[in-house]
Amino acid sequence: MPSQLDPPTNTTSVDGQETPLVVALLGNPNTGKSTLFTALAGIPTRVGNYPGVTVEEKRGQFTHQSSRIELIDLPGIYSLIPRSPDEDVAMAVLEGRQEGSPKIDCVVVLADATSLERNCYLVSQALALGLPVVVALTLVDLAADRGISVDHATLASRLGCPVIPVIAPQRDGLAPLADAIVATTKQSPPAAPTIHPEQIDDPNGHSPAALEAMARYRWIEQLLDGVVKQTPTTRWSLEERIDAVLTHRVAGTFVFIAVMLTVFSSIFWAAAPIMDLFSGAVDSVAGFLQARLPQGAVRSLLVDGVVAGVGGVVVFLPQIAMLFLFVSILEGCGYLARAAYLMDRLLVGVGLSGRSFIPLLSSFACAIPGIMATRTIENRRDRLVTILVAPLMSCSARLPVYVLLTAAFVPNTPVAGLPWLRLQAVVLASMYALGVVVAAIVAAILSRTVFRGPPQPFVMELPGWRWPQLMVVLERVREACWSFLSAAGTLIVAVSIVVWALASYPYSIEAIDAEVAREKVSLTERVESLADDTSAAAADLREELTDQLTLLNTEEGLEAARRGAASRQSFLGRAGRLIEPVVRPLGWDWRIGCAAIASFPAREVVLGTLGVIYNLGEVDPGEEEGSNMLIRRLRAATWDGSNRPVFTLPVALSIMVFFALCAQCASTLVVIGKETGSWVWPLVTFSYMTGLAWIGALLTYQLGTALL
Amino acid sequence: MNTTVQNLIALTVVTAAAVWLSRSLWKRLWAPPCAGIQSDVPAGADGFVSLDQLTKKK
Repeated sequence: MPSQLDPPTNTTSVDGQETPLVVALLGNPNTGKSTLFTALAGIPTRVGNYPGVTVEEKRGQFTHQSSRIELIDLPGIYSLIPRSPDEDVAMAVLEGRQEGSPKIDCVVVLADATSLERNCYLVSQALALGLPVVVALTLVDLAADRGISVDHATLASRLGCPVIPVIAPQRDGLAPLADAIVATTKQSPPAAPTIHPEQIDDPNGHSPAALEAMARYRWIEQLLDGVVKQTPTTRWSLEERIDAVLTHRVAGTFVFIAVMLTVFSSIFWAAAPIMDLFSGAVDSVAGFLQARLPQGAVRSLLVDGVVAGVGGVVVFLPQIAMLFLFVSILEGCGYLARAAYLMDRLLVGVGLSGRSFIPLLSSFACAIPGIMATRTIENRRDRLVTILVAPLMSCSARLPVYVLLTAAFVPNTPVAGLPWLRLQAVVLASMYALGVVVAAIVAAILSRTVFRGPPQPFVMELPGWRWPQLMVVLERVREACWSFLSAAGTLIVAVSIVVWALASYPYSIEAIDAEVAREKVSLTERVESLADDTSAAAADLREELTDQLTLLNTEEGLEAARRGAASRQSFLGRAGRLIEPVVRPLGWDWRIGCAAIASFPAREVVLGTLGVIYNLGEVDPGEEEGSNMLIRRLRAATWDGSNRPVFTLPVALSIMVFFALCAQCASTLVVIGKETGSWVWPLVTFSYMTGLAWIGALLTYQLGTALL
Repeated sequence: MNTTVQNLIALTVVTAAAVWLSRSLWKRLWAPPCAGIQSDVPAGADGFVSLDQLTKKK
């Protein structure tokens, strides 16, 4: 027997009523909107509010008192002033502008009883739409647990519309809500609230929009006076207990560090088998081309340029996917919001606004949306400081550099006797922490000198705990992988080809053989000059030089020497040796310097560039299993005219620190210019970050060499 | 393929790549691929106002 709230069994009219009542569900995120939708319309829908995911409107139907009701689930939003696609869709549906959406007969606004003041902001805007409105008071059971009681009858009389308490999971209050919907559509809409922004005393000169927000909150304060009562309660829910630990200054920080270290550890071990497969595939392609094509420029372009450049990058796809998988899960379950709460204290401590957190968090994916998100910061001082430090957050383009150098040169030993905690994970996490710490120091200095002023406190909402949605998580991973592969398939291919040409031409076999011959003569003379010196140092040097001479007389050694000479005589080699004095104190050879310079327009090209430069300049030792071609070449790379390896642990750390702190993204600098309306700030950002990067890399190399 | 032909092919590919790269980097400067949604709505319009504004004496 069908109940009052059954989904319809067919689409024909009920009681001759041709057109169903169209009801829109409107509410803040996490107010139980989708749960109410499912309880009323009986069809499954997704819960939560993710940009780009719940933008689609979702519809369902049910019958009540012989009325057919079509329910439209709008995205969870905080305001009816559109500033995102979600809010734009919601407003368009409510105003009847959305293509394919019917005219709305009634708006059900969900108001979370546990935070009614904030939820009434949207209610105040819905009342001004000129549509019948019903307020569904949700989460009343949770509010009661917290000692909050809401006098819904008084609230209804003050609002001029029905207010119905609802516990959707238990289906409590659904029938009264449906009654109210049907009854309200037969009445005239409620009066719009009287909001007077012009009456706000505003000595600080806020924008009209901010004044309106303040006037609405003043109206809400009067509306809720005597309606909401809170009695002290000693009962803590499980969620509150978990939050008490995770947002605790000490315990929460420890948990945060443990979670991050676990994530970074997992990136290495979980992605390793897939990375090996990718490396094997890249090696096979290189081997295939090497075997099939005749020796010459075309083969070198494909093998040493395209395959070495792109192959050196795409092998990191599994690790990129793994990082975004973990971050999406942490975000989806609500943990990142708790981490945000912890970070808020740090931000205020260094003189930044709590509003800076979202822009800075966005900058971990890419600094550009992060810088654009600073528009929500009202205070110019806070906004400028946030923009200046946002590029210090380690964006996803830095991750492959960290992963490559960590995997190649940092020992994978356990730390503090913990088998799950590996040194590689600690180093990777430290690179992310370095950006945060340096940003905090820079912000603290700026906010105490150039940009002095009081910090702006900020209210933020902690969403409830929930299971991450598989489709949302997979979509985030897919997006990240596609973005990475797109860059590899376009920008990095082009850079690899251009760098190959610069590192391959001019090519003169006579000049190369002449240089190799000169090298032989020089080595012989140096060995002979040391013959009479009996000191231990001289003996060591003599032994090393003799080894080099012996190697040069083998076919393999001669090939390596020819590659090195060709590389040094190329356009890139000549330019590289010009900049070598600048990078030498950092422990870098000219080839690393060239790769760093090539990365200034866009840092994601660095691995491709390193792949090409070292593929042309070194012989692939090829004996190490489980490592990719680029790692093998880097490990085999030696300083010109010596057997001394270029890449050591201090050098690898120095490169990572340089990339963590350097402003190697022209797009970011342009966006800073646009957002600040001045080219001074991009120049300041570029100068201070490049300077910091060089000093940081210098200290890392010099201290590392002294200590390790 | 002799050396000259190989060099010609390689240099043609390199020239095409260099032209494409220059254009891409220039376009990337003014339309970054990872830019978020642009909005001209002023700050404060989303309903969030800072705590001190809410608690300020009226």
